[in-house]
Amino acid sequence: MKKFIIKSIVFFSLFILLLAIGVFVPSKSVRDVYHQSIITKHQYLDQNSDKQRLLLIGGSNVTYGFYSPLIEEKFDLKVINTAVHVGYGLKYIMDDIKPYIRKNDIVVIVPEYVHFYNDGLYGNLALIQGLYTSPENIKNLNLNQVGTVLKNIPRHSILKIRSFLSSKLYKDTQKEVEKKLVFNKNGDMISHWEMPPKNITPKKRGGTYNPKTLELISSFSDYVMSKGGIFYFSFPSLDRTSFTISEEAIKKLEVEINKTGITVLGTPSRYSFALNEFYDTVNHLTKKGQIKRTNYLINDLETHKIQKWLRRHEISNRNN
Amino acid sequence: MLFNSLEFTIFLPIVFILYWLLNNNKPTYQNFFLLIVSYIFYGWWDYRFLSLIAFSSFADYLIGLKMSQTDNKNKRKLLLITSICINIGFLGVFKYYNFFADSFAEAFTLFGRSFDPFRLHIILPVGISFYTFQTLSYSIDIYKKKLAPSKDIIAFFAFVSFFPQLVAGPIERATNLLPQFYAKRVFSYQKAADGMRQILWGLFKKMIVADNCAVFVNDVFLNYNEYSGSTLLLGGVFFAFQIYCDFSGYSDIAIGTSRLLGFNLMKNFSFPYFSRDIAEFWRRWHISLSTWFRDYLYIPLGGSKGNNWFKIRNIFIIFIVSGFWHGANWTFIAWGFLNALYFIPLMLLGKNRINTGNIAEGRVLPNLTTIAQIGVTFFITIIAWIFFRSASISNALEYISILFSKSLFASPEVSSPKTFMIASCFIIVLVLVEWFQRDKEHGLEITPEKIPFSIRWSLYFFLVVLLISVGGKQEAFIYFQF
Repeated sequence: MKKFIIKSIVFFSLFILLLAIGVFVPSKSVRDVYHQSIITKHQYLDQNSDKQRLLLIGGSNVTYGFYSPLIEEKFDLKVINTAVHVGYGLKYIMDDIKPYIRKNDIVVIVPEYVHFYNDGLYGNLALIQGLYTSPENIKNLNLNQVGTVLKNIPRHSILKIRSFLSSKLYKDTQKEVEKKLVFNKNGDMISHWEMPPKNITPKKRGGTYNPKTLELISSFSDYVMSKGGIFYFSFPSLDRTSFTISEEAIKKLEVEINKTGITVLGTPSRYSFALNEFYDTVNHLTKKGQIKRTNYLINDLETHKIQKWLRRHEISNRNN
Repeated sequence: MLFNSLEFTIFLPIVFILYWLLNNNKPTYQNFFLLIVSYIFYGWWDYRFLSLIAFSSFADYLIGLKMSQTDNKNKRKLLLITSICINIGFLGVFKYYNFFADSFAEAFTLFGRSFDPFRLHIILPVGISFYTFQTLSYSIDIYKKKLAPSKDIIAFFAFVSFFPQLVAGPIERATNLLPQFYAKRVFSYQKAADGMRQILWGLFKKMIVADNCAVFVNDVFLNYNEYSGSTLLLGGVFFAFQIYCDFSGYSDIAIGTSRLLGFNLMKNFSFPYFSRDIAEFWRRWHISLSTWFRDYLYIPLGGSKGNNWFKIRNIFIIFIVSGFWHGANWTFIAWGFLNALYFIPLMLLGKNRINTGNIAEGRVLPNLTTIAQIGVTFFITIIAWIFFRSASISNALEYISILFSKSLFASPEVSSPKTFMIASCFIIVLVLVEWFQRDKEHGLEITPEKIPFSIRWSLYFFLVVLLISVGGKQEAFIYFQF
């Protein structure tokens, strides 16, 4: 018995040592560089602008989902695409952006469907990478998020060691990695625009519905409004097959959202596109898809008389 | 609580240490502790269903005692029927009610009438098919006087809810497992170390092979009408490995965990894809269920005695019931029916027991005849698995018709090449390891003295790192839904 316990302790201590090395090893993979883009996005959010701001919030469906210059041109706004990764979880995403919300901001939140089911609200492996780039967010984590972090540390460490070793082996330089990821000045992803779409597997959405997600969205909406801003909710784009096989769950979700009283732009079916309009996953649109989705957003904002709201705020700002 | 979760990684060492600290001459404390942790393990999914296990355990405990107190045959039969009604009743309500209601309503439409059946909006309690069969075997064995009833209520409750095998088997017989709850447990280093190796091998099968195969399989079965026959064939092959590694991986973890606690569970899989005919496949696949049906259904029905029609009837009954045990869907019934069709010719020709020995015994590689036999058996099981995996019988038939079309000779298309490559590589590793270990209890069974310490530990370390870095997304075990 003693021999067995000692051997088990030695084995797992060695393993924990390996994980500890992984936590501190420097890494510069495409994945790391992608997560670091939040730093630039925070800088955009910090910059002063003489124009009214529109903030796009969500996961990578938003990063790969919009071409902000079209919105800027149409409404004469400053648009910032703040989104990076679905795996941060919607709670973290909203907590991260909250300090940057200013008076009269227009906020459009486009959560991914996974945020509404199971533990999607609290993120996954990517949450750890989010914390690497923004360690100040640790103070906002709740118990569920701490659980997510603890659960994913082993995988995170091993992946870091792997990417460290592969960067040594293939002598990747920071610049070469960065070349693979290009964002425009608004924070929209555009480096994949000239690349051919990849084979994509449609995926069913759904799971155990988590009502907490809508509660948090509602309180976030209240916060934006308390700052004199306006808050919109919109559905993510999804390929038609995934949409069809997930329709029952999505319809139920739509009913729940409409109950909250939050202004909803469009409907889920409106944003179900052909599979060839997606680039590498059912969340990432191609250039054509991004432009199409952006034009839909512009139409939806017009339907909700955004121009009227902008004019009113322009007058009130002038009077102030 | 899933075996492949962080919760279980924390749960198991705590249970292990406290369990052995409670070791003394009487196993009562350890049994009571096992009962508590088993209920925690099960309640992690849904604590409400603990009442079902408790009720089923209590009913069978009382029935067992009452049966032993009387020699009146009719009274004993009545008690047995009560036990069967309770256990099958649970299954009927939770698992089969909606299926029968829908099928009844559909049957009415054939006569030009339709109605909306009353459906129950309930979820299926995890593992109900497993523990109800385990308690049923207890009552039947007492009725047949093969087993004395348990007078130790704690030991009996711990036997029914024993957490390693509670939710997905192996379905243990009371004659094998219950006496182990009465005996003093002795810690064995060799047994515990081998248990750890079996857990590691089970996790490899589940997290590396099954979960990575699942990505390709889910895509192919969802969009089968967009793919070529060759892709559908690959989808079938991958599903065969997915379900094998998922289920036998669970059994390996269950058996390994039990060994850590000083228990021996029955072997549930014996390298079934090396079988040379379908009869041998069924002696190697889900052994605890196959033997359960053999002992408690097939033999009471008359087994292979009587004329050919009688034998054929019994074969169909056992395979169709076995299919239906898996789920309330016509696809499982079709799967069972197809396996009966495969089995009957062997039985009628008296060839169902010709391949009972080790495969390619004394040889490193099989000869051409054995390769051909293994290939044909594997192929026909794939055809049956297509029914098992498809959403409906019409989908399965369509899948098979595309599979056998001209496009069978086209080059296959893969939507996630990286995952596909990972799964393919590890299927090859699995087949090689299992082939060379085919006379052992599991893929990682070794004689430690024959392999240097550094190599052994490097292998374990490598496997753990592999589980974390290449392991697919944490998926629930397929057999939980049964």
